[in-house]
Amino acid sequence: MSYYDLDDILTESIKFPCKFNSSIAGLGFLEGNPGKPIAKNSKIELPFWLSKILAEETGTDGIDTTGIPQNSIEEFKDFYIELLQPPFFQPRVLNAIKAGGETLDLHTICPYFYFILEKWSTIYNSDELVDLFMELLRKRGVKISNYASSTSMLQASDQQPSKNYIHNNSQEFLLTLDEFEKKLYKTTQLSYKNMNKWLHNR
Amino acid sequence: MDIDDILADLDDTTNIPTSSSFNTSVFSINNNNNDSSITEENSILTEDDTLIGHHNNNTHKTDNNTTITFHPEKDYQELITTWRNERMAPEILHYPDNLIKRILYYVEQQIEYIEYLSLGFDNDSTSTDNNANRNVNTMYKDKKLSLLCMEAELERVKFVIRSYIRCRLSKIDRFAIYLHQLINLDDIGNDELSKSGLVSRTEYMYLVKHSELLLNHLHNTVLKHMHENLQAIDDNNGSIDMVTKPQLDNFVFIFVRGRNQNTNDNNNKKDKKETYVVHIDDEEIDLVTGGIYIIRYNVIKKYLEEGLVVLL
Amino acid sequence: MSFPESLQNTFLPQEIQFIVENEPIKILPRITTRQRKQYRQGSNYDPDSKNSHPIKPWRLITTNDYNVNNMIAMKSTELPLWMAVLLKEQKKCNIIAPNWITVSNLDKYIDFELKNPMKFSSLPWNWLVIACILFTKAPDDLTDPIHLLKSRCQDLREIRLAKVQNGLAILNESHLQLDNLSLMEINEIRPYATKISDMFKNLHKNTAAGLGEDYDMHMDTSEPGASFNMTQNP
Repeated sequence: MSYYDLDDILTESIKFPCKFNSSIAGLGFLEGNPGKPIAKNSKIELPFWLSKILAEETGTDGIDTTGIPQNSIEEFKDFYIELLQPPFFQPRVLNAIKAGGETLDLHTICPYFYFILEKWSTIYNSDELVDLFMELLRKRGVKISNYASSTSMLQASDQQPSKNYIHNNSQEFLLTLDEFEKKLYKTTQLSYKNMNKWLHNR
Repeated sequence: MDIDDILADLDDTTNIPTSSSFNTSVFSINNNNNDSSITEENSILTEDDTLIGHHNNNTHKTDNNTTITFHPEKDYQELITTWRNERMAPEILHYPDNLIKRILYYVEQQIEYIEYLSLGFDNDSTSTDNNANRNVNTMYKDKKLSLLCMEAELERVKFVIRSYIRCRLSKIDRFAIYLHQLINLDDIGNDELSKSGLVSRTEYMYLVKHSELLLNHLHNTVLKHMHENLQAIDDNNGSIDMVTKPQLDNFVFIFVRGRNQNTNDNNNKKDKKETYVVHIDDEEIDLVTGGIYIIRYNVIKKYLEEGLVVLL
Repeated sequence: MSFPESLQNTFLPQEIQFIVENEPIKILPRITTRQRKQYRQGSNYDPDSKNSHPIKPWRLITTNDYNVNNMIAMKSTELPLWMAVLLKEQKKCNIIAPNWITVSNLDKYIDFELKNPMKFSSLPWNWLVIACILFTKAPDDLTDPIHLLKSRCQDLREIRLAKVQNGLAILNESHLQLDNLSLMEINEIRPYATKISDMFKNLHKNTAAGLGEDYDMHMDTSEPGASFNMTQNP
């Protein structure tokens, strides 16, 4: 993942529900109260690029705590915020995946489904989630490859009726893919198309 | 012939010379090379001992009486392997300076030879040979046929060289800043560069000029309007390094060539197939000679450098 | 752009064909190029050969030019495929089709492919390209009726493609062995296989297993790294 990668930037702008572990002065603007402190336990949504920093830093990080009373340190020993379970990792979604997620509309759930998990897993232990998602991608991948193969074949033949049928079907299917899956579909389809061109134009 | 010359007549890479396309096409032979560049090549050849291949059946005496060995067939095969590895590798691979010099030398000599044949200087010698059983007409046709093949072959070699260099240039574009850091500017006396061997001298010049243009452009359009502290383009303090680096753990297809590439020993002792160990995470995997794998590039990198593995 | 994005990290099928065209193939020349003064040193490359007599009519720089300088009409010899095709187009030779391109041999391969759902038969690594080139460039040089050969090759391609699809379903974050898959077949699935494996790897790298920590909590039932190989002849 590179610095200039648009998908990466868009992934990091996805908002996560967060809970503040302590009251912090001056941060009220985050919830629309500029100039006021943000209260302990208040829940707001923050983009991932911001929340990941706050979730990994504590109030005492980088501060010389000698001479500060123990009880005031206590309060800031926690991470600034705690990331709450985002909607796309909620049991409702996970159950749907377990039931066979081939037809799931991933794009509506989260357009950067796999990328965001990759980032999430750098913060929180999510082995089970990863296993589940890898299995999901494996299943959907086979389907993507099949679709890519059939749509690339159609461009070589001229059977109009069936072409339209599959075309419409695949358009619908494509809308359910997340951004990574879409790219996967595109490059796979291009490769199959090149192959068919080579096979037929000789 | 140097990279500038090759760049000058680069045309569409997708225009691959397959055998079928040679029927009617007219060949443009690169005439850019004047005498001076050819003598320059020759002097390179005589000075540089390492140019000498290790196979001894082809010898060529030069003016200085140094013996130089040429092995075009082997060199071409090596060029193909080098080209294929470069095309599939996520990072830029070492530049085989001497191999490319030899190949370009063959190409130049071949262009001269083709010109020589097509101008008909050879008529005397062949006609005395063949007058008895072949008339001039068939001779002329045969010569045309051989010229057709030689020109087709030349185009094939030129295609590989072009594709190879274009591929490297695209990597130099992509990893410009990274390569700058890698090839430390201060270290570069001219000899140092060839020792590091990652890029050729002309590629290095390209890298320098290209990144200069890019940096100027970035500076003039955006960076100069920003605070000094925000002008860096190689900051790696943030969560993501600004410098684009090759993804070394990307997957590649490999063929395990093994040590005895050309012998048929493998077939005789099937049970004792050589294996090469790689480590992925905590797992140990044996790569079997003759096997095809899809695997992470960084785990097989050292075998690729040793030539035991090729990228497919 | 020095190199179009679509050509990065993959080859065009035409480029695979180009690679395969360097392979030798047997031909039956219709012309004689051998001369009474023989070029016994045909294998030697001499950059100054124009100065030495006699002139070599064919001097090649990518392959040994002994064969092409010593062709005798109707005596079989071996040339690189691209040159064989070129001579064939000029009606100067016939190509001797490799013996696996016969109905009976292809049937054996098909049989093997059907009986071994987890393995690929050991067809030559360039079988698809060779077959396609011969079908279009030298249909009269094939021993069996071309429509039968074509349908056999089509069958083989489809059976193997189905297996490849099964193989794609067991791709993982570690590695996969795919012996006897031909270069063209690899190139076709390359973008899919590498891209999805990269994603598996990226997802996996922050798990306990990926970080190299002990993990007894959930023993993997599926072995990471699967094999989809064979080395047997039909």
